[in-house]
Amino acid sequence: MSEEKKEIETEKEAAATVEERRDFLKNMSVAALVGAATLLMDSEDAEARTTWAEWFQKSYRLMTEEEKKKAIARLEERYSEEYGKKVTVDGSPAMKDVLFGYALNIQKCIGCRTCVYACVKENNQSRNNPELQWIRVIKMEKGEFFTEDMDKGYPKDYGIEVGGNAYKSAGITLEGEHYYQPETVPEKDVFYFPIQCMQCEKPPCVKVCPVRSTYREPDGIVVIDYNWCIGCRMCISACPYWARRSNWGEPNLPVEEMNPKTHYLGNRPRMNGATEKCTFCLQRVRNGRYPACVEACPVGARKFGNLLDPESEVRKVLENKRVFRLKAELNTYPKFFYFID
Amino acid sequence: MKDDKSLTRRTFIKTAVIGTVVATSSAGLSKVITSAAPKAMQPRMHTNDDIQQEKVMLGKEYVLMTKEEKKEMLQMLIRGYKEQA
Repeated sequence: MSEEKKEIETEKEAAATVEERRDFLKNMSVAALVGAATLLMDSEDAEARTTWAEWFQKSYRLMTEEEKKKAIARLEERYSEEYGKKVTVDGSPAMKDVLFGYALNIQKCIGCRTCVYACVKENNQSRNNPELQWIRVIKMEKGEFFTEDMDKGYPKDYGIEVGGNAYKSAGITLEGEHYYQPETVPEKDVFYFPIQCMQCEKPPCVKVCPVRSTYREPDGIVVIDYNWCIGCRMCISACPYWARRSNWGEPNLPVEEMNPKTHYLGNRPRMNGATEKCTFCLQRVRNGRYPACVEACPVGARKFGNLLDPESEVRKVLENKRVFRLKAELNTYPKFFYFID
Repeated sequence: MKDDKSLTRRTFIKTAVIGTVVATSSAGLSKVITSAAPKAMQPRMHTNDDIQQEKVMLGKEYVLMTKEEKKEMLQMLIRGYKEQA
């Protein structure tokens, strides 16, 4: 055999080896893909199956009724398996002729945080390290700002550095504190200021959401499609009331504490990265019940109702009480009102 | 000629499959790495959220609504509801 022929033979052999390796890699890749798909599609594990389906589902507001039913059925199956009890996921839409509003009597609130714990229990928030809370109660000092003291202070006359109202309780101009832990409440010379989502008519959080996972429902409640949320936390930055919470890690919800009556847009268990907030207990109010915080308040400071109904509690409050809104100057038109008798 | 065509098609499919596998796995890996904050950092991040709310309270302003303001606001809310319906 000539030298030239030998070279050609060697080249052919090398080409065949490369071809074989390519075929092998190709077949392995295809097999891996098909295998993974088959495993996930036919998995006995409800979570794996749901996760696979959830990856390809639409935004909830764009789903057809049929698709909504399927998504809800998938979640019910998954949660029931995960928590070992029958979990229902409600998909009730907004009721007709209803616009929800909330009023809170700031004079009556005693700062006991019963509403906070009722909310956590009802809405399946993450429990430990840390516990996510949708309601914050802030302790504020009572006090008064005296205009006649404005010209006092020191040094006297010209060049005043410290005003006459400094170093004494001047009411709401002093800072609040929400880590208060007294033995008993209410404490002397303080008042309490609970804050939660204001369900704004013009919600800045909705405006900034890049994927429209958060939106305002016809009954005025601002909701989040947790599956559609990409966890960018833009809404958290945009909310002037700091009412939104992020799941910085995997939420932990003990099986025995899980509330099995859930709503798709409300208190169903959330996932890592999803943002959450108060929904006026969607799962309750759309079925004719009060939010958990309203029911739990021991002093009856919280009122809730339909703003379109002139006979509702919240309308009566608006008509007869002294009312203010938090950060009204921002024109977010909150539907959460604070009132004084 | 026919062999050349089928080789080109094969090469294309092969590249596409390998590309998909690489893209999917690297996306998955980067999601796992970036999506969750390290456990040790989580309490601090939650505390930061809380501090922000305190700051919000410091910038607050309470102005009692007049009767006219309340009436106007209510009308605005009702009108808004009717318009969307």
